Amino acid sequence: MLYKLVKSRFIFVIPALVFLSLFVLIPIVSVFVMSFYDWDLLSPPQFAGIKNFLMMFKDRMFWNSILISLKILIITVPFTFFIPLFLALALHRETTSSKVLRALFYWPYMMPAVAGTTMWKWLLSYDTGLLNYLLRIVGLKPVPWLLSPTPATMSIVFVRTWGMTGLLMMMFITGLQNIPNEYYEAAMIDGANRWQIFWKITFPLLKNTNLLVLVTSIAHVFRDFATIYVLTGGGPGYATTVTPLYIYLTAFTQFRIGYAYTLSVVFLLISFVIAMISLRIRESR
Amino acid sequence: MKEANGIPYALSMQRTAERLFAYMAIRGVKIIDENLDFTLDKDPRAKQLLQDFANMFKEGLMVPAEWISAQDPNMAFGGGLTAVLWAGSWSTADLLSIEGKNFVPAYLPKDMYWLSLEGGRFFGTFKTGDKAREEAAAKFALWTGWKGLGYDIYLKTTFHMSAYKNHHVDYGNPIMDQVQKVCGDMIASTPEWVVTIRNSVVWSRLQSPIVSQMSALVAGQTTVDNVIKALRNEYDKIVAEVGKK
Repeated sequence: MLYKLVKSRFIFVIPALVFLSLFVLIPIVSVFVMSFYDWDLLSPPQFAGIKNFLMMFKDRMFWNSILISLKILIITVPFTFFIPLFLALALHRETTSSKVLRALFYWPYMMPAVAGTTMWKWLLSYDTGLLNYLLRIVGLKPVPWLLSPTPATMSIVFVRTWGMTGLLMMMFITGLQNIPNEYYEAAMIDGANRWQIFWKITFPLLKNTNLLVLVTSIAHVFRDFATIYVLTGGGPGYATTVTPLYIYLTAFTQFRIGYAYTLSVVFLLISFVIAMISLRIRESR
Repeated sequence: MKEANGIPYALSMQRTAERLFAYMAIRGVKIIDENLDFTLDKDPRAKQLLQDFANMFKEGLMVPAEWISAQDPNMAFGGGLTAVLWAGSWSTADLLSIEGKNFVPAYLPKDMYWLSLEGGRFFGTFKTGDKAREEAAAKFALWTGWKGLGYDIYLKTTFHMSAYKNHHVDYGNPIMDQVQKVCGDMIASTPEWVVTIRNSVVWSRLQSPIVSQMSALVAGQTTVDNVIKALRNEYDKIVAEVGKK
């Protein structure tokens, strides 16, 4: 029996399967199961049937948080796609300066999200932030970066882009380095200019990388919690209360754990649909 | 206060519904009364009081970032931007450890009964006669004695007492004199209705909407009338969901 198991090579995937089951599969199944329960963390969970789901349909704040999440996603993704692409095009050659710059751009991704965002919170602070200090020095009015809905949204977009650019740039660089040089040489001999080379050779051959960057970017932005929790706390009002933050508040300030599970399930399904749509769009091109 | 100290703001305040609760209650206005009825839209003084609260931010007496974007009030207070910090008793030990700051914890306001209770709604639940909540409170008490979680991160660092058999309160620590005085006076002077409200599910659930609505009010995104209306809707929704007050 053991011999057969070893021979089938199945034994080698058992550690990975155990790990996945413990830390991915079981938690996901638990979330689905617990979404049908009422639980305040202290009393035993009570089966509630589909009550939580019915409640969710009437929860205006939840749907509002989905809209805010989508708004931030739609604004952020073009930045997290084109800025890393531009940087990768500039830095994909193996020179000393490009290696140093790559490390510099990658550095924010290496920082813990909370630490990086806290730093930006200080820099963007209305009263004591460096940005407003500089604006005051040049005689301009300070900007309420985190105190007004539009600047707060744009600050989140900026900090998110700052945090992810390094990772996405490295993905593009890997993609660019996999394109054979012969294509470029042939195109140059045929008289193609840089713009034509980019759109006719580089961009189409980066198809798989583009897809990877897009999906990674969407996943990171849509599920982001730390940036918004630290930067704005969901304010002003509900202006930046994205769904992960709303789920957190439901679970840990209102102690409606079962309902928070329900919201998580729906959020997971919405994320899945968005990922599917982005894959389909890319595949259809 | 601002002029005397040459600082941009006078007061820092932690962004929680509990602080607003105390701000309103010491002026005789209850958000929820002892019967757990929503009374904010029934009391004629409530509207003006909330407007006054928002005006304190607009007039530069309080720090807008603290209530709009959850900026840590210790930052402005510790950094010398404000002269006073209105904080929960649980912050006492933390604040006393800020280096280079010479300040004194005091009650606000001095001549009124204090509107808080050490241990908050959890320990207060023993008074309610509601079996489910009493059991929940007992579990919380056990959690605080859970070595490595409640005990190490809560009790041991905040100098609280515990049923944990090996628990040792460092009474010799100079901080204890101040911590004990703050906590002891608060327990002695907390009225029972405060415990009733803070122990309720409806108050617990209303806290997050209160903070968000007040954040929007301070940011000028909504009006006091809309805040009261929105909180009334939230209250009705919570009562309908919970099935009782």
